[in-house]
Amino acid sequence: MNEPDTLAPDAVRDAYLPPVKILVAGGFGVGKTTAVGAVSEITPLRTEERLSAAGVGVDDLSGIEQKSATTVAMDFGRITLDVAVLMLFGTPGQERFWFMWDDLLRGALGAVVLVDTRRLDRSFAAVDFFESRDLPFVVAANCFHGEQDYDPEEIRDALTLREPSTPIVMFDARRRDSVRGVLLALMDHLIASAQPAHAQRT
Amino acid sequence: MHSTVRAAVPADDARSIPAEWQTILRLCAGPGIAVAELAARLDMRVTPAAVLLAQLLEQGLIEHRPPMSDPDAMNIDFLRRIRSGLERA
Ligand SMILES: Nc1nc2c(ncn2[C@@H]2O[C@H](COP(=O)(O)OP(=O)(O)OP(=O)(O)O)[C@@H](O)[C@H]2O)c(=O)[nH]1
Ligand SMILES: [Mg+2]
Repeated sequence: MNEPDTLAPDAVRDAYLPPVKILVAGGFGVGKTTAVGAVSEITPLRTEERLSAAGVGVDDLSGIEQKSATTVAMDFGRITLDVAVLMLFGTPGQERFWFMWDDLLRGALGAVVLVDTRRLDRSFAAVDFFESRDLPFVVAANCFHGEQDYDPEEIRDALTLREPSTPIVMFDARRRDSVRGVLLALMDHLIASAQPAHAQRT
Repeated sequence: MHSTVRAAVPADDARSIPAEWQTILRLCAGPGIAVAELAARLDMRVTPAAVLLAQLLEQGLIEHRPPMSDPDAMNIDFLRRIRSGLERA
């Protein structure tokens, strides 16, 4: 048997880039898959995860109840930079399952919430979810007809965003540079949030 | 699902391991691949793929890295470097 060499922890090997996790969320049909695919360097992949409602407490009542389980599917894409690998996770639309999905938020740096201004209500759940978990996010309004009937302030009001500094950008999910612009807006937001308040205007 | 893994040994140096493990070593020979991506490429769900990867990790065949999100690691300089990298990407 040919035993593999054990890895010397201090061995100098080519850089293992730190992964950075970003969620791309929003309601049914707002363009999540399109956006991940437009900006990803690989053909976007579909990843499945099986969630079981263990811990919700139904079992405790009778001891015989079946655990409810559901399969959720995410889009996965990535962008390799010189300093990190951005991993983009297009979240599944079934927001009602997010609460029992510990892994969804864990390790996420920030999120993009896509909205279709003709159906803003479809993205309420994602906004609420990230606000209540304190995950920084930007709102990206998809211009499905090449134009946008609403301005950012109208969208902000309609979504009743809690945080006035949450950026709202207009974009086209089919265009790579446009989606990249949304990610740049997210980075700007994260950078601004990371500044100590007293240093912001110096 | 969001950690990345990468091979700690070349697949060719580990010929005595199961074929499935060798496939995994080949898939993660680069600069790190997300567990979510690996699962998709193996046509598996995330949890069973993670269980499989844990066995390779135990054997020292792969290493893993969780996503950067710790406030210490996410300093402004690092965020700025990501931003400028993205601008050039
Ligand atoms: N005109 C236009 N069409 C778009 C745009 N973004 C997405 N679409 C179209 O809208 C439809 C839905 O887009 P998807 O990317 O599948 O949306 P999704 O959010 O992944 O949908 P679900 O996963 O089903 O919730 C597709 O037919 C896209 O081609 C856009 O910016 N402009
Ligand atoms: Mg989709």
